[in-house]
Amino acid sequence: MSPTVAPDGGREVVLSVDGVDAGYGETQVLRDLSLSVEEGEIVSLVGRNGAGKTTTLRTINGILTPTAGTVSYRGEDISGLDQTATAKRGISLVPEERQIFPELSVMENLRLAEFGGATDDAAHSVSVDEALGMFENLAERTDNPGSSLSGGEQQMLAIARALVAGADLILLDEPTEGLAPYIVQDVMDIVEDINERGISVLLVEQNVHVGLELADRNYVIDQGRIVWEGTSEELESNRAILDRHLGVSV
Amino acid sequence: MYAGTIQSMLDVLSAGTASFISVQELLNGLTVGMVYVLLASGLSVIFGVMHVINFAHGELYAFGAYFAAAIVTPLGGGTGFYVALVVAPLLVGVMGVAIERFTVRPLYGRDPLYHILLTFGLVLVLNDLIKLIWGTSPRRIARPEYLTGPIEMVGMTFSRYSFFIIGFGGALALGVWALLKYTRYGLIIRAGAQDRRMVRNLGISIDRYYSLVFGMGAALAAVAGLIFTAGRGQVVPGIGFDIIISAFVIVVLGGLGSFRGAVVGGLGVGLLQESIIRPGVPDLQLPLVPENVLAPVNMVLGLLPQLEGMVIFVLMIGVLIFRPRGLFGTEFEEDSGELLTGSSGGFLTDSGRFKLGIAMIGLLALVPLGSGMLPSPLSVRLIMTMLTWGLFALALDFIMGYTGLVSLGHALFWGIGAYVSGTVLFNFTESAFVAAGVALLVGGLVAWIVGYFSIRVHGVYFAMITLAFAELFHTSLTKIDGWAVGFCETTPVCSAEAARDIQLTGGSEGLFGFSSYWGLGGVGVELEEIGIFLGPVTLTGDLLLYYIILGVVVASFFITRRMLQSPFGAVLKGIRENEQRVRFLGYDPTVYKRRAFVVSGIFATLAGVIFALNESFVSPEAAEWLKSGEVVVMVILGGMGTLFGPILGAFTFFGLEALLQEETLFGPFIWAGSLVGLGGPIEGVSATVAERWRLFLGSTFVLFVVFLPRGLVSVPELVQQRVPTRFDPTNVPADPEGGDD
Amino acid sequence: MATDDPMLRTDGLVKEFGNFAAIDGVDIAVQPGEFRSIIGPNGAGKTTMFNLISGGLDATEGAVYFDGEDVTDLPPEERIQRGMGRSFQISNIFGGLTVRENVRLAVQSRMRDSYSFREALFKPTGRYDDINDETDEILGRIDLADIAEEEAAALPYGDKRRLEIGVVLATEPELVLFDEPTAGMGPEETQSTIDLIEEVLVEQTLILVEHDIELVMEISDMITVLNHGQVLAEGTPEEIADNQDVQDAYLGGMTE
Repeated sequence: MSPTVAPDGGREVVLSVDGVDAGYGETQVLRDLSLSVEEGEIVSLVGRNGAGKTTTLRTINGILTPTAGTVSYRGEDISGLDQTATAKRGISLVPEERQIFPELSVMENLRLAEFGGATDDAAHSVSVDEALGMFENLAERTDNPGSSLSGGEQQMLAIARALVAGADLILLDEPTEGLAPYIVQDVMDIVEDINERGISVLLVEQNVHVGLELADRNYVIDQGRIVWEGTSEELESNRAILDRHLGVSV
Repeated sequence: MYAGTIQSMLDVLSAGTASFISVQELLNGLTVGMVYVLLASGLSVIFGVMHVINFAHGELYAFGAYFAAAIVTPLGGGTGFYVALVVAPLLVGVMGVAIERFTVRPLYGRDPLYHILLTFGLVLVLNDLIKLIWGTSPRRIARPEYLTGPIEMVGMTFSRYSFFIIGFGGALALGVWALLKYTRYGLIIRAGAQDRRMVRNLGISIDRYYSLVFGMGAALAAVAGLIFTAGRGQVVPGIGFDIIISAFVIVVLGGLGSFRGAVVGGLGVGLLQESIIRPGVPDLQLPLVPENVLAPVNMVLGLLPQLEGMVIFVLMIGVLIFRPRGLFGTEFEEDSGELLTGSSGGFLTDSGRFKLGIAMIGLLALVPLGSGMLPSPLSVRLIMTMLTWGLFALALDFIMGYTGLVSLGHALFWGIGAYVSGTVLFNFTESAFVAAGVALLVGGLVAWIVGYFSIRVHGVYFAMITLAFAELFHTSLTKIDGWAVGFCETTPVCSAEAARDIQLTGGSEGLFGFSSYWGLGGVGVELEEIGIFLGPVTLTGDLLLYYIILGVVVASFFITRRMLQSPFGAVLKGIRENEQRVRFLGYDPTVYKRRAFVVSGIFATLAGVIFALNESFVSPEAAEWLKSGEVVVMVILGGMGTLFGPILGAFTFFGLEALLQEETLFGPFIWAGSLVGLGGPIEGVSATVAERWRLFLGSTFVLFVVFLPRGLVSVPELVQQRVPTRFDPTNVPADPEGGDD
Repeated sequence: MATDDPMLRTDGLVKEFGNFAAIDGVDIAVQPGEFRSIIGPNGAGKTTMFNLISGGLDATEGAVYFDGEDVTDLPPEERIQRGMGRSFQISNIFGGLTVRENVRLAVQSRMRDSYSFREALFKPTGRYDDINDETDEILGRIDLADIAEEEAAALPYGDKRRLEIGVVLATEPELVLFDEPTAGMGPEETQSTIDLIEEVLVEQTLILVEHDIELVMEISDMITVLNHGQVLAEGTPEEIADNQDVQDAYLGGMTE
């Protein structure tokens, strides 16, 4: 499969994954996977447990190296780069487990992101103060250790940290997992906010509804392959795809 | 915050216990504690960030002292001291950076065990380097006038220098704390100690900070070495050996990876040792507590001075069992790096290897007959040592190579074998059989007990708890005779006079000159009295003992090999492959590991028994931690998980040692050295090398860990593959996390 | 309560992680010989349930009864010794051992009472005729006898799956727990794995934790649907397909 052109076309392709195979040791997870994200888009990657969603993000971010195919970012082949190098280019992974530093304060978590992060001038740098302005409940607890935050707050901090790191493309892994419904809504609002700043988002969700509501485009992944691609409206009305690959209707 | 902790500790100790502990003792405790803080904080942070257990940290401490002595001697105690205070830590810091760059770095991604082995090799190298550069005679670090002599305060006399150590050390620790707390580097290092992967995800190359952390830790150790030796006693080559184990105790107590833990642990252990245990404490008299409750407490307190040196190991064991992460540490997740066991493939088939083994045994059996013609390094006595250690290494391999548990305390069993059989021969009967039987029984029992407490912790914690048990035994050796007398004085069970006649361990000298006969109940033969004449060959007692040892080692090899082919061995191999799956087949891995530990302990005890019978003396050295380290070295050198590899490792270890000590045999080694680019320097200093063989042994070992982690037994396979690409260190990513991503 | 003695029964099972109840009062009863599937949307507690049954996790409240016996506080190995078998999601075999050694280790576990302590320590495994006969039989049933001496790590994926199931079979379980046995497989691989399970495990009671609803509908006798850690519905595949609550749960309650 070749990289697809977005329906509205014309915008710069930020991320292009092209015929990628990847996996862990002997176990191949991704098979000839291709997808793309354009400037300012929210793209969701939906699929069942074990379909290869997290593996896709890890391959883009450089934790895993593809065994075939290429990953390119703004035209540059980044297939062999490690996490540090991709982060310096403005790709920021917000992992599923959030990975807040438990013994660092909220402020220190953010300052650390400030030290690291994108070195590119083009990156959407957000200062620590700006980030705290966006997340009021974090601003109230800047001296508290990361371990004292609730799940929702940790998710907010993880996103804030990606912003401070100057993310240009955020890889968001299951941001609503394990959160209460009213917090899920907050997280969705935040994702829309940051997208309005011009930051592209590749969102992995098991909760199809979050994906459908946020995304401009959706990819359905099953057994390591992209099996469908289209807008949220198209996906919502496609019972066959929902049934077959997502198991969301019976 | 740390300052607050220290302050409050001071307050509590000085106010609440002023009558309990004298101010002088309190000051002693704080002085020693501060030295510990400096030493342990580097060790702990290095572990937290890089997951490296640095045994060589003690040698860096020693280097600090030596550099200082070298600077102060020509410059004098005035300026010289202050210059040394700056320059010596800097030099050692540079050494630390170099060590990280060139030896530790290639090993990231492998199991943390390899770091233990590597840094142990470095201990040998650095320690001998010290002797090479500065010789073995003691040196002193002169202090400035201002820092010597007593100081009068509130009607009491104190040592001025103690205040300097506390003040300077405290300021330095505070500085490090501020650095960690308030600077960018500090933030990155603290974050790295919590979650390296996420630090990388934020675009920070944490790997670049490793050298810095290692260098800083080394510099702190150097300061500790300098200020302590300038105050107390002399600079001698062994100071690193002596202090490193205490540093480990502190790091474990405070929590692996925690700076705060190292500070509290260091001061705590200093105070405990110097202010409470050593001087002893008067009986407690608390108004509200009834006498019958206080009495047993006071009895225990009264015993404390007799337990000097042991209490900290008991504490360490307790912490590892009940709270492995220590006071302030975070739960340390084991790296899932691979343990590289020896390969069994290569161009040697099973039957080929079997024939080779038989040929080796045959050759060894013939050695004594032609001993007169052999060059001296291959003497019969040397081979006896090799065989004994081969058995010891085989025993360790049984637990290390087949269940992945790395014991750093196997000297415990060697010591038990040597001491129990020695005690029996010295005091009770001269029957070698009885002595060996009693020793094996005790060894097995101790192995079961130690295994019971140790097997529940994993990886690094297991290494540490076995080390603690071994050190506990080691420190008790010099005290046991005293306890026996004390015990007999207080109870009617035995008479104190009788106890005084008996020497169970012989204190720090050990037991000398016991003799044995091979038999039971007085019926048997003494080897010394035998001469067997076979044509032109005469077999004397020594040679008979040679054959006995050879027989025991060969038999032990076949017994353990048989065990590994049994259902028991099948489960062990399963545990090595996949412990979780073994559990879900219905086996309890803990039970099987404990049994393997007991088997290992019994054979290690047997090795100790042979040692005692062969040498006719034992001393506390038999149980020191260096022995535990050396035997691990032999196992890796030969190739673990193969049983015969470790024996090969022991032969190589002592072979190298003998070769290096023999100047006439230096030719081949110069040639071998030239292959690794050391030819020139080796040639130049060949005479010195013969004296400093440990340096080269250690270097060889470091090269082994880096380039040939599967040991000598993997050589046939590597030859077959022609190019050892799989173990090319440049292929190992600089990623200490291994496969945990 | 069921009329017959169930093979497996849970009674008010609760598992809390902090304040969060992943399993919140689940009662199920699986009859001997039944093929039961446990399904549910993500986060419903399927994996937690699986681990509570197999012993991988300790229950906060409630009890697990296996064959009439309370096994709530037993570690995994003792549940296995009583006749539970557990298959792993990704092939979780002993890669460095041969195919035969893999199977034999499982057979040996079951037959350990038939040899003495001394034998267990010193008699080579090759000399236990009963164990070896059993091993050969299992190897035949999973069709791996020809490659019995090969190292398991070198097997192709499909054969690893067969070996995985063979190892479970070799412990002669009365109840086998499967955790998404076809995860990451293509349609053909999925079918052949299911065929193998149905072929070699005809007599056993089976519990399958699965997200693939199609598969579950096809092969189960009974289905339990979990949602938010509770039993949402239970019944035959037909009953579940018609259940409105189940449809709603899968479409998620957060929007619309």
